[in-house]
Amino acid sequence: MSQVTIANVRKTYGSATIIPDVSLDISDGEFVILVGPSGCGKSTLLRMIAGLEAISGGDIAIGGRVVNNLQPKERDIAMVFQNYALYPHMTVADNMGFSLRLSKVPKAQIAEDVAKAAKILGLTALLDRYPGQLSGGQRQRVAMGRAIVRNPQVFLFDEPLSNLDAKLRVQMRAEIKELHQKLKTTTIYVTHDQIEAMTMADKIVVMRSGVIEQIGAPLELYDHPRNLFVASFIGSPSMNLIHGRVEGGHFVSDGGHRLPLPRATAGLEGRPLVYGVRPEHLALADDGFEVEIAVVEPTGSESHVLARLGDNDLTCVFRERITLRSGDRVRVRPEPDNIHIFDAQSGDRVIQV
Amino acid sequence: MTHANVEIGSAGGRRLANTGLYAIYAVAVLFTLFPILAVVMLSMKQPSEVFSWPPTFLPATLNLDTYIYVLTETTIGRMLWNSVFLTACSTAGCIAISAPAAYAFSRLKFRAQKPLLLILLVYQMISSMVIALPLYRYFEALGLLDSHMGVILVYITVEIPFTVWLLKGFFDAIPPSLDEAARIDGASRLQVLRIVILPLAKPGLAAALIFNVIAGWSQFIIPFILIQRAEMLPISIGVLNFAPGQTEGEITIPYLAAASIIAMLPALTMFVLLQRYIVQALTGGAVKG
Amino acid sequence: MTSTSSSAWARVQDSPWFWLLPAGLFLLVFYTWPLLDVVRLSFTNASLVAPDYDYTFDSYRRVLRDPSTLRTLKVTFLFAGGSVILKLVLGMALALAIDAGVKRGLHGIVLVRTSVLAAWVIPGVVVGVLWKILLSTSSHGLLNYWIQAAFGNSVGFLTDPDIALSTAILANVWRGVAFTMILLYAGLQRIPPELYEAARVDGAGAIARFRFVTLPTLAPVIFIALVLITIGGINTFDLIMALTEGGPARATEVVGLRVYQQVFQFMNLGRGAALAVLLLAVNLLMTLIYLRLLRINRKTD
Repeated sequence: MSQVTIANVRKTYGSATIIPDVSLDISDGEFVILVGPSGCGKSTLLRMIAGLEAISGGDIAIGGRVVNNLQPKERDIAMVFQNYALYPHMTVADNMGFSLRLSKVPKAQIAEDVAKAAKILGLTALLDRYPGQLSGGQRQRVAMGRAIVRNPQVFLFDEPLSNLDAKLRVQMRAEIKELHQKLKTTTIYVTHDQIEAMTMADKIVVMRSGVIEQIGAPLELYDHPRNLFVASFIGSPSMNLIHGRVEGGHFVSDGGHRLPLPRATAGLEGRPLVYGVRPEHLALADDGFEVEIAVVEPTGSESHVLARLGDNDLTCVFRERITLRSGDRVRVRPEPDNIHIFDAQSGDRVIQV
Repeated sequence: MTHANVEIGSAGGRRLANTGLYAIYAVAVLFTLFPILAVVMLSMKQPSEVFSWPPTFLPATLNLDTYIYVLTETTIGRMLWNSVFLTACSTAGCIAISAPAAYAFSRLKFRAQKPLLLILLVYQMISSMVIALPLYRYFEALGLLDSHMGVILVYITVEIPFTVWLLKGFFDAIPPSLDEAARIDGASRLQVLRIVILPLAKPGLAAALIFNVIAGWSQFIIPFILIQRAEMLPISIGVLNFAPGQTEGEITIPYLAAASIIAMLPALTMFVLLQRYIVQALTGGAVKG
Repeated sequence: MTSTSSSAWARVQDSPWFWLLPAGLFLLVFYTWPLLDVVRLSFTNASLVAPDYDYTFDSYRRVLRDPSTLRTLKVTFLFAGGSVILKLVLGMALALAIDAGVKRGLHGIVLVRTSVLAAWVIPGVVVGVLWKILLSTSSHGLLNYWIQAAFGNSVGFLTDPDIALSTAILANVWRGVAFTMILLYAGLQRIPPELYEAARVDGAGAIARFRFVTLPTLAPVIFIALVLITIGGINTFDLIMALTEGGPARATEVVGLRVYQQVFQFMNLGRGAALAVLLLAVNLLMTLIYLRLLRINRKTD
C-alpha cells in the first residue's frame, strides 16, 4: 500500500515560518494536486515529502513508514522537476536507467525496464539521443520515463508543465492523466495553474501562506468553495464578487444595487457580506438587474462580456452568440442555485443555496 | 542581430573603421610578440655576435647551438623536471582538495558559509611573502627545506582559495535540481559530485587545471625562500642562474636568452592548446544542456 | 545492518565539514598559523640565525622611523598605481577593439587574443629577464641601439634611477594587460545588445553609446579589475627581482623585496616580519575595498 500521510508538518527557516501546521491524507493510487499562488508552500511541502528539505516538525509517512529522517533515495519515490533535470551528459536511456544503475541492477535488466518505459511513453526511437537534442515535450516525457522506470510507491511532480507552450501543455496534461490511469501509482502534483488542477486531479488541495484552505474533488471545490480565496482561485474567468449586505430579503451592494437572493437569508441582515456568482451562472433575462456593457470578447465557442454594475466589474460568459456593443445596457440574472454568500470579514462561506 | 546592425552605414566609413581596428590589432600583436621574438633571435646568436656593433635583430646564422649547450651542459633539464613535478603534483592535489570544498559552498547551507568564503577571498589577496617567512622557520626546524614535498604542500595551500572560488562558480551554474534528481535516483552526495557535477563542470575543471598549472609554473617567492639547493630549484628560479655574473660578462647572454625561452615554452604550449578554456572560464562559461 | 550504516554514512555527507575538512586543514596549517605567527614575530627582535629572541616593539619602532620604509611604500604605490592606470586604459582599448572586431566579423581576432594572453602565462621572472635583455645598454641591447640611431643618445631604462620604475611598470603592463582585457571583454559580453539598440534608436553615436551604455554598465567590472590589479601590483616580487633587483639606487625597491632583504640578507626576522605585517595591512585594506565594491554591485543588480 502506498498511501501518504502528512501529520502536523511544520517548516521554518530561522524565524520565518513557511508552513505552520499541515495535515493531509493521500490514499493509495490517488492523484492529488497541490495548488496555490507562488509562495504558498506547496513546493516546500512536496520537497519535504521527497526528502529534499528537512521537516521542522510533525511526521511524513509513505506506505505506513515514517520517512522523516530517511534520505530521498530511501523513500521509494520518483520526482519530475519543473526544468526536467535531465542529466545533459547522459543519453535518454542512461537518464532513465540511472536509478537502476545506482542500485546495481544487472545491465540486461536495466535495458529491459528502460525499453518498457520508453515504449509506454513513445520514446523508443530517442533512447540514444542526448537531452540537448530533444524538444521540450520529449524532455518532459523522458523525465516521466525516468520516474516510472523505478516503479516507485509515489510519483512527485513539481510544476512539470510550466516550461511548455500552451498547446503542448494541454497535450501533456492528457498524457500524464492517462499514464496515471494506466499505472495507478499514487501521485502528488504541484502546480500554480488551477486549470491543470481541475482537469487532472482526483483531489485538489488549495494552499495559501502555508495553510490548506480546502481539500476536495475538483467539482466540489468549484461548486462549494469554502471561502473567498478558494472561490476566486478556482474557476476561470474567476467568480464575480460584490460587497454589500442583506436588506429586506435582497442583497444590496455597497453601490446601492439590488441583487436577488435565494431562500434562507434569515440571520444575515446587517453584517457586511460578499455576494459571489460565477460568470457562466449569469444569463440574459428581462427580469434581471441592469448592467452596462464595457467590453465584449468573442472566443468563438462563447462570449465573455465585461459589464459594470455601478462601481463593480462583472464578468459574464454567454454560450450564445450575442450582438451587444460597448455602452449597451442589458439585464442579467444569476442562477438562483449558484449564488454564494461569504462573510466579508472572515471570508468564510455563510450560506450556499 | 548586432552583426546586422553594424552593416548599416556607408561602406567607406565601415572600411575606415575596420582599418583602424586592424591597426590596433597590429600594434597589440607587435607589442606583445616583439620582446619574445627578439629574445628568440638573441638565443640563436653565437656568443661572439653579442659584441658585434651594430646589433642586429636576426642572428647571422639560424642555429640551435645555444639550446643544445644549455640542455646538455647545464642543470636546466633537471630544473625543468623539478618544475613539471612541482606543478603537476600541486595542481592535482589542489583540485582534489578544492572540489569537495567548492561542492559544500555551492550546495550545502551552513552558518559559517559566508564568513568562510570571505576568508578565502582575503587569503587570495595576501602576498605569499607574508606566510613564507614563518614557513621558512618551520621548514628549517623540520628539515623540510629543499624538499619538494614541503613546497608542494604550500603551493597547494596558496592555490586553494582561488580554485575553490572558481569551481564554486562553475558548480553554481549547474541546476541544483540535477543533484536532487540524482539524489532521488539513489545517489549519495559523493556520487552526485562524481557522476553528475564533475562531468558537467568539465570546463571548470579544465580552467582550474590551467590556472593551477600557470600559477605553479610561475611560483617564485615560495621556492625562492624554501629551496636553496640548485638541483632542487624549479626553472622559474633557475633562469636567474643564467644571468651573467661579474666574470663571464656579456658572453653568456645568448644562454640566458635560450634558458628563458625554454622556461616559458611549456607554459606557453599548454596555454595555446587549451586557451579556449581560459577564455571560457574568464568570460563565465555556464553549462549548456 | 547495512541500511543503517549506509544512512549514517549519508548523514556524514550532509555535514559541510566533511567536505571542507581537507581544504580547511591545509589552510589552517600552512596559512592561518603562519599568518598569526608572522604577526607574533613582528613583535620580537628575532634573527634568522640566532634561536633566542625577546618580545619588543623595537622592530616596529625602527621600521617606522626608517626613512627607507616610506620610500619603499612610495615606490610600491607608484608601481601599482602606474600599472593600474596603463593596464585599465590599454586593456579597455583592446577589449573594445576585439569586441568590435568580433561583431564586424574581422579576421585575426584569435591571433590577437592569443598573443596578448601569451604574455600573461610567462613566469614573472622570465618577463623580467626578457625586458632586461631587450632594454640593456650593452652592445646586444637592440632597442637602445635603435633609439640611439634615431635620437642620438641611449636611454638608461635600467640604469637611470628616474626611469627604472617606469621601465618596471612597462614590463608589468606588458605581462598583465591581457588579464584586464579579458576581464573587461567578459564584462562587455554581458551587456545586453538591446541596450545598444535602444541607444541607437534614441540617436546615440558611437561615443555617446560608450559614455552612456558601456561605461556605466561596465563600471562594476572596471572597479573590480582596478582593485585586483592594484593588489597584484603591490604584491609583485618576481618580475622586479629579475629585472632590477630593486635598483638602481633602490629606485624600484617594492615592499616585498625589502621584506626579503631584511630577513634573508640582514637576517633580521623581527624587522622583516614587521614590514610583512605592513604589507599584510595594505593587502587587507585593499581587500576591504574590494568587498565593499562587490557588495555595492550586488545591491545595484
